[in-house]
Formats: sequence, C-alpha cells, structure tokens
Amino acid sequence: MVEAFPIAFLFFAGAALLALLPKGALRAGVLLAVPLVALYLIWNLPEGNLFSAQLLNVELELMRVDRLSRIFAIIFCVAAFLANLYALHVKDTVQQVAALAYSGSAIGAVFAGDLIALFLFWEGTAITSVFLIWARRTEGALATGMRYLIIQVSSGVMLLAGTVLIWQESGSFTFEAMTLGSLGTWLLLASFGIKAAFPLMGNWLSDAYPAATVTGTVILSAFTTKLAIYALARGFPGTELLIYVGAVMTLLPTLYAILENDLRRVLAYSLNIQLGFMVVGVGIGTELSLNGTVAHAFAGILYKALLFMGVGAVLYRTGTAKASELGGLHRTMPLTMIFCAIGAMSIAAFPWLSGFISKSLILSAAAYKGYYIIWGVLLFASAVTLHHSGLKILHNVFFGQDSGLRPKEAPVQMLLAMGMTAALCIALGIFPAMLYDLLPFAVDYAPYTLTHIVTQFQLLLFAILSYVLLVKSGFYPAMKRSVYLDTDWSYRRMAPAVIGYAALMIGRMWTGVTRFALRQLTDVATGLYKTHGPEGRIARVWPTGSMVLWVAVLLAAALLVNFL
Amino acid sequence: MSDQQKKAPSAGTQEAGSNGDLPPLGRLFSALAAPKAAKTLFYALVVLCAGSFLADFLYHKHTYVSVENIPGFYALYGLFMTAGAVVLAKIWGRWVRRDQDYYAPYDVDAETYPQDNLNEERHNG
Repeated sequence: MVEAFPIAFLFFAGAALLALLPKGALRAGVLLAVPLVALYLIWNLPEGNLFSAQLLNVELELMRVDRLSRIFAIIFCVAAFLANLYALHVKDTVQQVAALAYSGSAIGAVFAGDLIALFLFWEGTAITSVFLIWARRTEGALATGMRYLIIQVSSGVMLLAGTVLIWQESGSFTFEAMTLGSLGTWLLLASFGIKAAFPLMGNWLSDAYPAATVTGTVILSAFTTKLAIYALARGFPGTELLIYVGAVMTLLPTLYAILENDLRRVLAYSLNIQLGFMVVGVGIGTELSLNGTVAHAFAGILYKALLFMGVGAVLYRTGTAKASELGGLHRTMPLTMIFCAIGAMSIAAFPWLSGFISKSLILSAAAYKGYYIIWGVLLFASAVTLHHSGLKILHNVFFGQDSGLRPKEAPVQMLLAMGMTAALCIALGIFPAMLYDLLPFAVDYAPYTLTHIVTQFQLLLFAILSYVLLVKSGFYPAMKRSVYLDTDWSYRRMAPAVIGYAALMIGRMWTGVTRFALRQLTDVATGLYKTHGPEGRIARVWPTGSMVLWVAVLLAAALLVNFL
Repeated sequence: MSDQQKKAPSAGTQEAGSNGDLPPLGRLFSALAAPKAAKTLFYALVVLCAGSFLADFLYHKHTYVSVENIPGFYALYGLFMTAGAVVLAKIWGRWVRRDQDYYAPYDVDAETYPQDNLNEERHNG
C-alpha cells in the first residue's frame, strides 16, 4: 500500500465526484468530508519527502512535509471546511467544484518540494479561483475576473521564468531558502509579491475579492495570499527588503480602508494590511518573527474569513454590502453582529482573542531586533485596524443610522460556520499553546504579560474613543456611493487612455505620411506624363528613327552578350 | 411566519425595541442602542479609557522601546495616530473620489447583486 499520496489529489477527486453526484445531500457530504479527511491525513503524516512523480524526465516532489508546510496545510483544510459549511446552501456546480479544486491546489502548492510542482499548483489556484468571481454572472464580474486572471497568471509566468533561470544557474529545481541576487530570484520574489499583494502590485486583491459571490469571497480570502506568504517564508526568510515592503503594505491600504463604502472591499484592504504584518515577519527572519508570520497567517485566515462571512451574510439577506445602504441591523441579525464583533476584536488583537497572540510575536520580534520605526508603524496599523475593520463595519451595518431594513437572521449553515470560526478565534486566544505547538520553531514567548495586556487595552480603548469622537463630531468621512481610485486606475484607465491616444496619434501620422508620399508620387507621374507622354512636349520632337536606332543598339548589346 | 409578514408594513417605522418580532438578542441590543443607554455606554468608555491610562502608574512596565516608558504612551498613540490617519484619509479621499459608475460597466460597484444568489427574507417585506 502507498504510504502517502498527494493530498491535493484527494481534493481534485472530490471535485470530479461533485460534478457526477446529484445536487443535494450527497454533494454537501463530499464538500464537508474532503477537507476533514484531508485534515486527518495531514495531521498524521510523517515528515519528509513522501511522494515523487516523473514528468518529462523531471522528478517532481509532491509531498514535502515539514513543520512549515504542515501548519499551512492544516489551516487550509480548516478554512476549506468552514467555507464549504458556510456555502452549503449554494447549488451552483461551478462554485462547488471551484471551491474544492482551489483549496486542493493551494494545499498542493504548500506541499510542493520543487519549483516546477509549485508552478503547476500556483497556476492551479489562479485558474480555479477565478470561477468564484465569474460565478456572480454579471458583466462587471466577468471583466473583474478577467483582470484578476491576467494578473494571477502573469505571476505564474514570472515564477516559471525565474525557475528556468535558477535551474540554468544551479541545475536544481528544489524550492528552498534563497538570497536575492540573480535575475531568477528577483523574478521569483516578484511572482510571490504579486500574489502576496505587495504595494503597487497587489491592487487585484481589493479589485477582485468584492466582486466574487457571497460565499466565493470567503473561500478566496483564505488561500491565494496565504500561499504567497508561505512561499515567501520558505524562499526568502530574512530578506531585509521585505521588512520595508511589509511596513508600506500596512500603511497604504489604511487610507482606502477608512474611505471605502463597499464593506467587502474594506475587508480586502484590511486583509492587505494583515499580509503586511506577515511580510515584515518574513523580512526580520528570526525564529520568533517567522513563527509570528505563520501564526498570524493561521489566525488571520480564521478571523478574516469570519468577517467576510459576517458581511457576506448581510449581503445575502439584504442584497448589498455597502455602508451607505445599511444600518441598524442589530435588531434582526444580532447573532451575525456578535460573530462580526468577535472577528473584529480578533483582527484588532484584543487580549484573549486570536490576533493578540499572533500579532504580538511579530511586533516583539521587530522590537527585539531594534527595528523601532517598523515597530511603531505596526503598532499604528494595529490600532487603526480596529477603526476600519471593526468599528466602521459594526457601526455602519449593525448600528448607526437605521436603514429601515429588517432582514432575517443569517441561515443556519452560515450561523454554524460563523459560530465555529468565532469559537476557534476565542480558543486560540485563550489557549495560545494550541497554535504555538504547531509552529515551525519552538516557541519561547509569553503573550500574556501584565505590561502587554494593559498597554494593548490602552491602545485599543483610546482608538475606540477616537472613533467615537470623530463620528460624533461628524469628522469621520461619510460613507457615500462612490469609488476611490487606487493603483488599478493605472491599468484600467491611464494605460488604455495612453495607448488609445498613442494609437490615434500614430494613426494620424501614418495617414499624413502616406498621403504626402502618394501626392509626391502622383506629382512625379503626372509630370513625366506631361513631358514624356503622347501629348508631351518632348514626345513631340522625338523622331520615329531614334526609336529604331535604340532598338538596333539593344540588339547589338544582346548579340555581344551572347558571344562573350 | 405569516404573523410576521402581517406585521411587516409597520415594522420599519416602529421604534427600536418595541418590535415584538425581534429576536430576544435583538431586543437587548436595541435597548443598548437607545440614545440614553448609548450615552451611558459612552461615559463607560471614557471611564475605562481613564482607568487604563492611570493603570500605567500602578505597575512596573517591562519595556523594549524607549518611548514605551512615557506614561500613557499607548493611549496617546492610539488616540492621535488613528485620528491622524482619518484626517489624512479624508484629505486623500477628496482627490481620489469618483462616482460609483466611474468604471462601469467593467466593475461591480454600480451593479446590483444578482437576486438568484440571494435569499432576501425580511421581517418588513
């Protein structure tokens, strides 16, 4: 019997099976059972390279199990289970198949031991996930999905190009820690950076995630970006550049998260900020900070999914996720509100919730290594996250101005999924050892010190105070139906405009040049015709004899050539 | 179910908290969101803030960064930095704000969410 097989194939088999089964309980069973079985298998796998396959003379390592890949695979299975539970009402075959194939690809990529296998699964996540956006089946979603796909696939193309260059240099495809230097490594970093939503490269995230279906966004939020974080942690730990990249990531999206009206877009921006924390952790590169990155990815998948689930439930019941249209839903959706609040408190890192025990690892690592400015930036991002991802959502959806909407409480499968996710957020916060024991390195860190608890409460309580005062004084930006231009404007508006303008100008120049040339040629032709034509002045004085003479000369030349 | 639908037309206009349709938790939150209770909650927040600020003088802080030693550093940082971010966002928003249909039809912002993916059950129809 085979000891181990690629867990990804279990998901692909499940996805294929789904298409054959009739809609209903059987499919629901497959959707829930596959991630659970995979979780059980992964939990019990031994470490090492467990499975390799031959593809065109290349040995592919499909199951590299170590502490780093195992914890990511575990949280991916948990996220897939929770998201599928949340989406249990969905009857759309496309979404069900895409959900399983997408989570399977992400798990496959995490276990990939070499760059070729990583590339295959990397593209797999791109191609499967876009269907969760297209499943909305509107013109806007089609266009957004296309933009998303182009960017995701180009990330894969860069990965492939980098792989080829690295193979040329070292003759090896193994995916292991690298130092930046050659073009190949830079290409890999750029490829990971696109998926991890680096500044100026990551606007696809806030563009595409709010366009997906209610349940699709929950699934999307877990995998692609965290896979990129895994790849960074595996490939570029301790790359100092990443500290600054990550710090910028925690700052820039903040403005948009404060302004945005679409709350799922607010959450996408705030997801980008959380990725910034993880990238900083990778950049610092100590055992503590790498543990922090992994722990934060683990906790982040849960509380982010919880927030997307909460806002998604509101969208499901009211038809909108825009702050300007919502308000006062605490009356009829109190449970959803509580779950959202737990998610918000987790992301804001309240003590005894999951964000606290994961984020503090990264902050402490930055302080211990003397990156004081970075520490200050992260502290700021941490406080302001409470503003936009917590208070703004709770205030605009569940309290604030009454929208008059009285939607029913979220359906039972959504409540169950949210409840379980919220329970996990609390459990991780109260029993951090549950998470710390799974981390890649041994953890010697106590998150619950008196100083840490008191200072964290100070930070967050005063952040709440500032929010309340700003809203009361009417200074907080009003939520209006609008869009806020971000870097995606450059390829959605500027580039098409520039290209359009250039095309127009080149077209005009071409017409001008050809018209000029044509006129010149016509002039020459008519000039010649005038002078040498039948009616031309020169033709008039040509005697017939001169033509006969020239014919004779030509014949003589032909004779001469013949004899030579 | 039918009972709730009968009451529906008035539900939207009724005062918060007096709606019999509401789930028990919803009634509790309505009571908390009533203007008077909200005021009390606000003062409770102020008291909590003050308490956490003063707590700084009561114990020995273990610090790694020198600014941490300033009493109430985290409080001031939380208050002013977040407020600063909001001010900055507000200014930035003036530059980059566009109408909702700016990117239409190639974006979902101006679209309504397709009904067949939703289940808009409401108490007030």
